[in-house]
Amino acid sequence: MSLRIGIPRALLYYRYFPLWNTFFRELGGQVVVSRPSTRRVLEEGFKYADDDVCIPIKMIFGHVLSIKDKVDYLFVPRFLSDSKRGYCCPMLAGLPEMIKYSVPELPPMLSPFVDERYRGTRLSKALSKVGRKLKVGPLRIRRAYAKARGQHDQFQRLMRDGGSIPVLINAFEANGCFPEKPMAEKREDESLKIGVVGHPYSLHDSLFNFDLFRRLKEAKASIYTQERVHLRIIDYHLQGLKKDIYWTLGREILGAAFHLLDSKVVDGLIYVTCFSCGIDSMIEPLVGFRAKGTASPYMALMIDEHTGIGGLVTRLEAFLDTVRRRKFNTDDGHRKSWA
Amino acid sequence: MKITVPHCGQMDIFINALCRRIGPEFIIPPKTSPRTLDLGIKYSPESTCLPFKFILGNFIEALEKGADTICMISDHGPCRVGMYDIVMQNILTEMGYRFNWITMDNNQILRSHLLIFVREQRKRGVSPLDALRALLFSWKKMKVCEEMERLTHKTRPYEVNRGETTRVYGECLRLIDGVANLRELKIAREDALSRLASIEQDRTRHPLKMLITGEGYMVINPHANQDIERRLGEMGVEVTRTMWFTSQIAHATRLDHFKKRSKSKAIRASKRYLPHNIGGECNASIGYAILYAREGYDGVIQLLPFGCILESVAKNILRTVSRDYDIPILTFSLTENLSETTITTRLSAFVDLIQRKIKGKGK
Amino acid sequence: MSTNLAVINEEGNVLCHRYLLTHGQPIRAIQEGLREILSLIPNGMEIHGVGTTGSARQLAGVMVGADVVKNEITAHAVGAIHFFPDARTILEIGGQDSKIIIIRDGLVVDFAMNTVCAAGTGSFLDQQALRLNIPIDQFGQYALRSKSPARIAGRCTVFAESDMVHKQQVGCNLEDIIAGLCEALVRNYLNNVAKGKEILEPIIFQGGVAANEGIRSAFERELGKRIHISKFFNVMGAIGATFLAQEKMDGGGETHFKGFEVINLHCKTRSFECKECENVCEIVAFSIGDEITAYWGDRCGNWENRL
Repeated sequence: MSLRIGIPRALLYYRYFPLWNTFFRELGGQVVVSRPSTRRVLEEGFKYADDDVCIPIKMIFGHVLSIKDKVDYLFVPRFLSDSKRGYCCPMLAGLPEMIKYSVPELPPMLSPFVDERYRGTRLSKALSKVGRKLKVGPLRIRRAYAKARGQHDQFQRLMRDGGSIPVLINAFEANGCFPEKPMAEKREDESLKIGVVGHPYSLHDSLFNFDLFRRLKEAKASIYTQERVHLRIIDYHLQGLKKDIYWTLGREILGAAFHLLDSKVVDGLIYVTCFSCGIDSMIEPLVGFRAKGTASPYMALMIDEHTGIGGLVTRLEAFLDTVRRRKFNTDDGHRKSWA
Repeated sequence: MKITVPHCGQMDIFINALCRRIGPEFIIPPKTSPRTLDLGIKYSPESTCLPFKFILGNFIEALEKGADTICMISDHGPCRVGMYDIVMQNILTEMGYRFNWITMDNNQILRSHLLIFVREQRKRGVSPLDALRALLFSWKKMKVCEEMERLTHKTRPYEVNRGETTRVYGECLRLIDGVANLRELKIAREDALSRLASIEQDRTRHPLKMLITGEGYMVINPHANQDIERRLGEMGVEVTRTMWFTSQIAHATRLDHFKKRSKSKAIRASKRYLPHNIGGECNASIGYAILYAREGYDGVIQLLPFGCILESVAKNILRTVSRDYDIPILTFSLTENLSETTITTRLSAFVDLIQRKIKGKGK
Repeated sequence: MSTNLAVINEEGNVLCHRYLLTHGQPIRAIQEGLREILSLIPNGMEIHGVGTTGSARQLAGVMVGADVVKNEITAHAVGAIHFFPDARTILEIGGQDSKIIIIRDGLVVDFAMNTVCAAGTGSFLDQQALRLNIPIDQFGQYALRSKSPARIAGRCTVFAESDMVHKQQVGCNLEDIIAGLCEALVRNYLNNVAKGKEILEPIIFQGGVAANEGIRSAFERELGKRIHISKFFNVMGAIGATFLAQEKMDGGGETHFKGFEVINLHCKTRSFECKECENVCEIVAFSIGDEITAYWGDRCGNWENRL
């Protein structure tokens, strides 16, 4: 089977790219991932996506448009829940339909339903249904999934050890696999450690994040993202809430943020949020409240379609100045939070 | 204990009935007004949805009035409402208020609402039997209120004097709110029925029939939807809406599976377009539009707060439903800027569009 | 914002029409418009019906004694369909709002309206014309002379302005910048109000902004389709209202028209908050001289039915 399977470079691609890419390649397919986001892609997405939805969703519309004519199948899974205890954003569950009913002239879509809370609808089962649809034998499907899973687990390990998602994506796409050793870059001249949390599909999208990571590196800051925080630590920090945070990503962001604020692992925390993200609208205030009670500088950076680079850069620079001042003048007992 | 709840439809009548029978003292928040919304906007994080802002405003005004216990529903996602409690608690505490909070978990109505309720009452010395009797009485009151409200939907398009139905309905609600037991309730119901029946009507009219569906809070609350049911009624439209206090509870306790136009049925009907139930009212909004289109309704209006993560999916899909079933569907994605023109011009154009379509078909 | 008037005769021909700028004073504008209309119609002509439309349709209706008070979407559609019976899309861009109306088989089947954001409306251009110091009625000519329109970020007027400054700094000529603005407005309109709508020909463009040839040309380029503009493009709503009035009066009855004397009467509106219940509606009271002749704005009907 040498079918071209199109995967839009958006949303859960940033969580599952090694798994999906490996799976389809092992089935014998050719994986076509859309090019990294550009202004053009986003504007195309605007034409078909509703006003109410967040930029990452508009972005995936744009990515779908950019590859739909170049592939035999379009892979847009339907994720209702991606962990035993949490939901994804519900728009991810309705995504294939939203695309199907808005974008004209689509190739056939592969939209397996994934609900990790129940055995019958786990990702492994969902993908094996896709394999069967593509007329691949069950043994090959099982082997492909096992290999894909291995890559996914390695991805998680690499992230926890400090690998950055964009670097890992590039390495993986170039070589088809990860190197054995972690790729954490050691920098001797780093003076600041900055925690950055947010939805991975906003944070690591090259257009959306206005080059945040490069700017932090240029400011001699090392970056500590939420993927480095172990799930057990996240659970520990959320225990005290006595509240079930029922969005998987929301949970991770919140737990990681609490950890980064409380533990002094980092000198300051940035939460990159997206305008009209329902989940961020509930999670970010909780981080903000917590930040007021700790010593760590904190800034919520909200990005939307109208955001001008100038304003964001100014705020980032001001924030880093504060962090530096606080770190290198140790007598400051003033608690503050930044927005 | 001075307990308060958010304004939601006619829920005050239910709570009033309960609390007058067995207490505790119920502090009704002042009627939701522009001030309520302003307070809500001022103290809410910017991207929260509109219902959050209204409800926070209610709570602030109730706390100002002396309430010390807030009772609020919650659920387990994926809708944001399940997170309201923790975020609001933080906001109100930071504002300096002190209060207790009782969470009623929507996913476990019997286990949560019922048991908590009986347990709290037992703490106050009320026997479980009395508590259940009071609950039954209040439930029956709500049923009567809803019956009257449905009648106003049917009556208003025919009314000769604009505003008469609304005025009489207000009287009926006050009547029903005032009764203290089942016997009085029966009498009040007869009285209300006769008052509504004596509204002057012009039965030669042919009202359009429209469905109002969408996100629950926006559908059931006139203060959030610019009083859309009254406006449509006065334009000569018979409206039906999908969100009712008693039907939501019936659905949550799985007692509505076989009812004719139940939420379960709507969700089943929606599977053709959205194969899985993604939560909230999303599937139901799509499914109800289909069910009512099949019954020959003339139009559908979908209401949602701007940015609603569930109804946005429905909004997208309803465009296709509208084409497939040849039924006009108008969506209002409402923000804090609730100006008159937002709704009235579009509503009247929508009604015109449908009336002319029908006239055109008749030729 | 504009105040527009039109008169049709029994055969449905437009006898005269006026387009005035409201300048924030609708009563004065209506009176002025009526005065000008009176001077244009033949002596002794009888008015058999009156229709009002637009955001101040209630005020106008009460002032002149309207037989029909209709929303502007219906009015625009009715007007356009009269001149273009096959029309399937109406694009309407006014000073403060914009609309799209979808018509199939002579009937409105869908519409959308934008009143929230200036980016897709005439005021977007007005502001930039002011900045560039070019009269808005010459905008179109400049745009048509452009060889390669500059790409201007259009989602928001404020950001468009900073983008324009940048383009001027790097040496783009005025024609290209203005053409770029026209394209930006068209893009906004299509991505915003027109999103998801099926735009089929014949396409009719109306509203004050239709005077701008640069916009028309930008639409034609963007859509790849021909755009028609009626000579009555800027008063189509008023014309639609006259046809609606004609429809109504064909059914028989006397007109409610109060006569042209209202031109000289001292009319005033005053608003206040009604305190009779918790709704606190804003009531508008309209008076001629010292006498209040109409109320509106109440939810319950107590004020409207008072007189």
